[in-house]
Amino acid sequence: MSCSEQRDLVVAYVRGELARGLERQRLEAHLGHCDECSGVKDTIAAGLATARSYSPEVSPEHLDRLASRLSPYTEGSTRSLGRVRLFAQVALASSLLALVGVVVMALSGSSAPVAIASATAVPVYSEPTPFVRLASLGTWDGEVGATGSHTDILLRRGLLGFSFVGGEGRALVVRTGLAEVHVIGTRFFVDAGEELRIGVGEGRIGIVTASGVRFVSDGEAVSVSTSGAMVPVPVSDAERRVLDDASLREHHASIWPSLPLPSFGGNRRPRLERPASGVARPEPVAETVTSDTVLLERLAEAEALAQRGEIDVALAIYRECAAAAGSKRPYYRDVSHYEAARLIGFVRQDRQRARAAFNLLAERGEGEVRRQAVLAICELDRQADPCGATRCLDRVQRDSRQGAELRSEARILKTRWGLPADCPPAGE
Amino acid sequence: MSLFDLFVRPDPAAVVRDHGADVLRHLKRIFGPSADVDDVYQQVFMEVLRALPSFQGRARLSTWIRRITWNVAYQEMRSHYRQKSSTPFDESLPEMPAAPAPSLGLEERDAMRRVYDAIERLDPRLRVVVVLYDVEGCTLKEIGEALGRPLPTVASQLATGRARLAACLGEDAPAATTQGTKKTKRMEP
Repeated sequence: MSCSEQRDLVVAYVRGELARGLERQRLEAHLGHCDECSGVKDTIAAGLATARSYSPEVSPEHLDRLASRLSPYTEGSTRSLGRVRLFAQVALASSLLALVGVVVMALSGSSAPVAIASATAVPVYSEPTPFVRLASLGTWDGEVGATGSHTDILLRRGLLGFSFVGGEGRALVVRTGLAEVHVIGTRFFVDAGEELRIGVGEGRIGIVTASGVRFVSDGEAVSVSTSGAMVPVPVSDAERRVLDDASLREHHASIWPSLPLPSFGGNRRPRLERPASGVARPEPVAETVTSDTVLLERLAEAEALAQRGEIDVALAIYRECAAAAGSKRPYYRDVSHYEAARLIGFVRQDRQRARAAFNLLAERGEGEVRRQAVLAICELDRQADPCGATRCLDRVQRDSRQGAELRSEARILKTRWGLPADCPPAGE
Repeated sequence: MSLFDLFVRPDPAAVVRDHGADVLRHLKRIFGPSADVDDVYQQVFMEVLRALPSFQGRARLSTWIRRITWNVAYQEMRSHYRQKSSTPFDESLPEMPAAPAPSLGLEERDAMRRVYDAIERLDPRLRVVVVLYDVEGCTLKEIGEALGRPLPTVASQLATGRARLAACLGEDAPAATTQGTKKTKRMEP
C-alpha cells in the first residue's frame, strides 16, 4: 500500500483505535521504514495530545471585557425576573418546610428505610414477539419493528439485554449507528453508550460493521470503534446483570427445547449448498437470518483465505455465496461478486474479466456495492495507466447521475492515489 | 410564568458569568491557541441568550451551551472558509501563530501549530467533526446530535477528515519542503 493509503489510518492508530490485525501490522511495518509517514504520525500524536490537554488561561479582565459587550442583552431581563424569583423562592421554601414537618410526624414510629436507588435498577421487560424478550436496566432510545417472523430493533442509546429464540424462518436484527447484529438464537446484550459494546451470554451472533464481520460466541464481548474495528473487552457489571437476567434465561430455556435445533448447532460448520451447474434450482424457502449469518460467515472465511493467498478456494466460496444468495438476497450476491472481481482483477491481474464484473455491478448493483464497483473500475485503470484513472475519476465526478457522496469520494481518491492532474484527453 | 421559569430557568447575566470562561476555553481549543475568538464568543452568547427562553431544562445547562458553542463555531468555520476560498492563493497560506502557550515545550507547540494549520485547511463539515472528536473529546453521538447529522455520516466524515488531515501534514512534511514542493493549497471539499 502507498504512503497516502497508510496515512488514512494514522490518526486512528495514534488514538489507539486501530484493532490489532492486518491493517495495524501493515501500518506499523510501513512506519518502520518510511521516515516521512513516521514523521506525520509523530506530529499528529504530539499535536493532538497537546491540543487535547491544552487549557488556556482565561484572565478575569478579559472575561469582564467580553461580558460588558453583552450587557445590553442581559441587564433588563435580570432586574425584572429577579424580584419575582425572590418572592417565589421564599414561598416555596416555606411550603417545603411545612411539608417536611407533616411527613416527619406521619412517619414517626416506623423506622424501615426506603431503598430508593434500587427502584431505578429493576429491569423492565418487553416482548415484541413471543420469540424476542428485551430487558433494560434504565431508559433506552430506539425503535422496535416486528413484521411476521422478522424483528428489527434500532437501538440509538442505552443498554438492552436480549433473548431470542430462532429457527423456523424467524429473524432478529439489532441495528445501531455503527453495527448490525444478526442473531441466530441467543442471549446477548447491546450497550450503546459512550462506546458501542456487544456481548453474548449464550449462543452466537454475527456483527457487521464498516470494517467487516465478526462472530461473537458465549462469554465474549467486543467494543466497536468508530471505524468499525472490533476488539475484545471484558463485560461490565451492568452488562453482566442484563446478560444473566433470570427472566431472559427463563425465556430462552422455556421455548428453546420445544423447537427443532438449528442446522448449524454444535461444532459443525455450516455449508451452503452449491446449486447444480446449469440447472435452475429454487431458492431456499425459509428466508431466515440463519442463512444471512451463514453467508456472512462464509464471506469472512473467504476473505481470510484470500489474505493467506488461497485465492482459488476463496473464489470458490464467493461463487458459492453468490449462488446461494441469489435474487432473494441481492446484497450478499453482489458483495460476493464484487469481492471475487477484486481478487480476479487485483491479485490475478485479469483486468478484463474484473472490469466486466465491475461494470455489471456498476450498472445493476445497489448502494455501497455499486459505488465501490464504479470506483474499482478506476482503480483498475490506475494500475495500468494513471492518466486513465484520472480521466475515469473525472468522469465519475462530472456524472450528475452519481450521488454526491460518490462524486466526492472520486475527488478524494485522486489526491489519495497521487494521480497526475494534467492528463491529455483519451486517445492522444 | 411557569414554575420552571421561577425556579430553574437561569438568569441571563449569571449564565454569561458562570459559563463564560468555559466557552472561551472551548473556542480556543476548537480554533487553536492563536485564533482571536472574541467575536465568536459574543455570537455564542447572543445565541444562548436568544434561545434561553426556550430552554426546557431537559439537558444540563452546560451541555446545552456547549452544543450552541459547537454550532456557532461550525457556522464561523463555514463563513471563514468561504472568505478564505475567495482570497488569492498566496493569501491563503496558514498564518504563523504567536506563541500559544508558554508552558508548552517548543516541539509540542510546533506540533500543535502544524496540526491546527492542517485542520484549518479542511472542509468545515469535516473540520468540525475532527476537532470536536479528536481535540474536544466529544463522542460521535454528541456530535451527531449537536450538528443534526446521522451517526454514520459523522463517523464517515471523521474518517475522511482524519485522512485529509494526515494528507495535509504529509504535504507539509520536511521531505517535501526540501525539494521546494511544499503545497499549501487548501483541500477542497
